[in-house]
Amino acid sequence: LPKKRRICRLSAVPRKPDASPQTLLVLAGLLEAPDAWHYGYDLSRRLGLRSGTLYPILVRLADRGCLETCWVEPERAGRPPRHTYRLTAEGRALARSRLESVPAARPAAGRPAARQLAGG
Amino acid sequence: MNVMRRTGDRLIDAAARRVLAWSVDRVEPDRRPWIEAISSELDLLESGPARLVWALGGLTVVCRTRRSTLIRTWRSWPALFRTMAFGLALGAAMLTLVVWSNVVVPSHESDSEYTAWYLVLYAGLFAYFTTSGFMASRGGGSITASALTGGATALVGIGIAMLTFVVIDNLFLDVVMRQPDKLHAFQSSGLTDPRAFVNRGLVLGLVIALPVISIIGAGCGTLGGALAERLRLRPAGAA
Repeated sequence: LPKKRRICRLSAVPRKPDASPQTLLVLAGLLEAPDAWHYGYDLSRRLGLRSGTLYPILVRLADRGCLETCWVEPERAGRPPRHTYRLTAEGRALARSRLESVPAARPAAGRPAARQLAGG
Repeated sequence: MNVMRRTGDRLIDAAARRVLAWSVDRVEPDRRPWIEAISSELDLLESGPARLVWALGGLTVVCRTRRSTLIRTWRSWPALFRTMAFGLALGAAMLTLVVWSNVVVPSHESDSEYTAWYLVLYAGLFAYFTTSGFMASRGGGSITASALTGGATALVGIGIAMLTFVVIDNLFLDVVMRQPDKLHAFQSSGLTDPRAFVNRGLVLGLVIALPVISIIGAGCGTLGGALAERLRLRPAGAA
């Protein structure tokens, strides 16, 4: 019998939610200082993620109750209030469980974590 | 050189702010704070292209929100039925009309005799697609829901009509081939089998005309949604 050739193979196993490399980075970044409030731009710079990648992840985490958000008054007058983020208890538990299997997701200082995770 | 660079940076900054303002207007209301959050960080970035790249994150949030709205619609049966209801009603009407005018009381006159009626039919269809989008928006849906409803109405309604043609053209081929326009087109097609001729036309209709009319339906639905949104935004006292 001729050998069957596969063009592509689809996995029947459902994908684990919040397990993409970028989401793991965000979870790791937030978990580094779990009690502190984090700013979007600082997270973006520290993790090496663009706003178009970072914010949809934050939105999703907030929707699932893993992230609390808060508007804070600006440090300098004339600037708009800033949005800050912190993991909830549920979010910390999720982050720990997801990061247990991928220790490389923890960002190192001075090196954008996205590149680090990609092995660059 | 410095002046040129400063001017360029100013233009890029203005473009970034416009992108964010556009995103705030287009995003679902419950997502608006996220665009405002992106916007509030803009001044911290160095002037120039970096700001524009940052602002594009707002567009991504808009697109992701709309995509999740679509996925929610397709995964929920009641929502799917609401989206399809106009199309199913149109399909039922088209099915009756097609069977009536082609089998029950078949016409033996050229279509050119009915040009005015066809124009009325097309205008009515476009108005119906627009109404479906209008109603989707009135029911609390977004512009995306209106576009989706308009497109689905066209796809389902005209799809049912075309499938009706597939059935009756094959079951009542002898009746259908008495239509003067069809007979003339068959004679000039070079084909020898009338069944192959009608089926070729039907396949072309399904492959080309159906997607085109669905896109037109989505456009009309968007128009209806925008109209409903405009009426909703108008102050209650205004005429």
